[in-house]
This record gives sequence, structure tokens and C-alpha cells, in this order.
Amino acid sequence: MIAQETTDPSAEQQEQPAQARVHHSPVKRYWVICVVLVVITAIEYFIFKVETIRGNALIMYPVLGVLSLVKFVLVVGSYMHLSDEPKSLKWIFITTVIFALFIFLILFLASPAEIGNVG
Amino acid sequence: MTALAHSTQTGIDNRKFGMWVLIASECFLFGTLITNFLIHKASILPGTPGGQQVFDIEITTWSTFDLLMSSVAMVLALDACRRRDLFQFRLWTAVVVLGGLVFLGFQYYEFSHFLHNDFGFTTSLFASSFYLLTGCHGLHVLVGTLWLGTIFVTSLVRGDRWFNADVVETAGLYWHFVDVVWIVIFTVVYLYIYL
Repeated sequence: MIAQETTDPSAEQQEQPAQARVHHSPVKRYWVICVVLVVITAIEYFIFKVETIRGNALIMYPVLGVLSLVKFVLVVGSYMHLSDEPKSLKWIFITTVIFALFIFLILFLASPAEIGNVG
Repeated sequence: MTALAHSTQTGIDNRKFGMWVLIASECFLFGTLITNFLIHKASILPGTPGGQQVFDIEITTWSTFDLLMSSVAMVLALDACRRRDLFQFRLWTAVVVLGGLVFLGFQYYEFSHFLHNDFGFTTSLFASSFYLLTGCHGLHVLVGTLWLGTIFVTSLVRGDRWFNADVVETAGLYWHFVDVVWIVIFTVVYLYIYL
């Protein structure tokens, strides 16, 4: 009985399209990511609108930074399909971004502190 | 020889690989402009408006929403192209182009509003660095809109004889990158300015 069930070709045929749908239809995933991106943007906006939080750099910098980073990773990983690309391509992009951030951090820290007051 | 010239050791289409290299170099361009903005964030002359006085976060949030929607439309257009569904491909490509035009319309409105409030390119170092960054991004949106508009018109003229997923994917990579840059600008320029 068990052997019959496992070798039944009609049962296999019924299962295959369902598996194919799961693997070959990314449209649902795109919409889910879209909803997540819109919700994050709405959260950023509402965090910004709360006046007690708006002026608090200790909360605003890390919270908005992390939310922005999540959006960045979602778009690059899913919409730009970097997560599906070969490792070599992933590393080209990731090392470039890290290297660029390192240079900009040095540039930012090396700029004269009083520049903000010069005008 | 021609076949060898088109082959690739990376296993990635040469145009797509080229676009990733361009994107990597664009990271440096926009990174420099954002750093420049951060350095001059407080360089406001006395009596001239700063970001807090002129920025309209509601408008910018709608711009962000618009670009995010156009990014979704872009992946849906690519998916339709791979399925060779001409109607869906045209529909979603048109939505992306429309999204680009709406974003440019928002930016035009925003810049006009700023100029009416005496916040011009030469008002202060802060204003100059702001216009340089957002203007450069707007220029990239314009290029992307024209590129995708050309693809849309080509699909109208040539119908289903023209289906090149590699070309659409390459244009899509550029468009998503423009969206990613705006995600950073929205936070660093418009939201952090109040701190």
C-alpha cells in the first residue's frame, strides 16, 4: 500500500506543479518586500513626527540608521537579486561599499570641526 | 573570436557585470556627495534659511513612496519579460516611467518652493551641497526614466519580437540603485537634519 502511494505517478504530477509554483513565482515575494519597505518608511515618518524623539540624537541616529539599512539590504538583496548572484559579484559590491564607507569616515573625521560655523 | 569576446569567466552577462561595476563606482560618487553634505550640514550663513525651515517631510515621504513603488514595478516588468508576457511587461514598464516622472515632478515642486523661500544654490555652503547631492540624484532619475521610456517605446514598436531580459535586467539594476541612493538620502539629508 505504501509502495503504491510512493510510486503513483499521478500523485507525483499533482505535487510537481505546486513545488514549481513555490520556486518559480517570485511575484508574491516582491509584493511582500514592497509592503515591508512601505511600512518601514511609514515608521520612519512617524518616528520623525514624534517631537520628543525627534530631538533625541541617541535614539534617532541608530533607529533611523538601522531602518534605512534594512531597506537598503532588502532592495539590493531581493530586487537587485544580489543574493542570487555568484559570490564573486557579491564580494565586488560588498567590499566596494565597505571600502567607500571607510574612506568617507576618514574624510568626515579629517574635516575641520569648525567648518560648520564658518558659513 | 566574436564568441570568445562575448564569453565571460564570471558566468554573468557582460552588460550586467558592467552595470554592477558602474554601480560600485557610483557608490563612491554619491558617498562623496553625501559626505560633503554632512561636512557642510551646519554651514548656514546668518539670516539665511536652513533645512529645518524649508524642508517639507510630507512631500519627501511621498517621493520615497513613489520610488519604492516604481522599484516594485521594475521587478514585475522584468518578471513579465522573462515570462514573455508582453501586456504585463508594457504595463509595469509604463508604471516605472510614470513613477520616475512623478518623482521628478515632486523634485521640481520642491526646488521651486525652496527658491521662493530664498534657499538657492548659492545661499550657503549647506544649500550648495544639498542641491549638488539631490540634483545629481535627480539627474540619475531622469537618465533612468529616459532609458526605461526607450525600452517601453521599443516594446510598443517591435512587439514580442523584442524580448531581451538581459537588457531589462541591466536597466532594472540601474533603477534599483537610484532607489537605494534615495533611501540613504531620505534618512541622512531629510530626517537627520533635525538633529
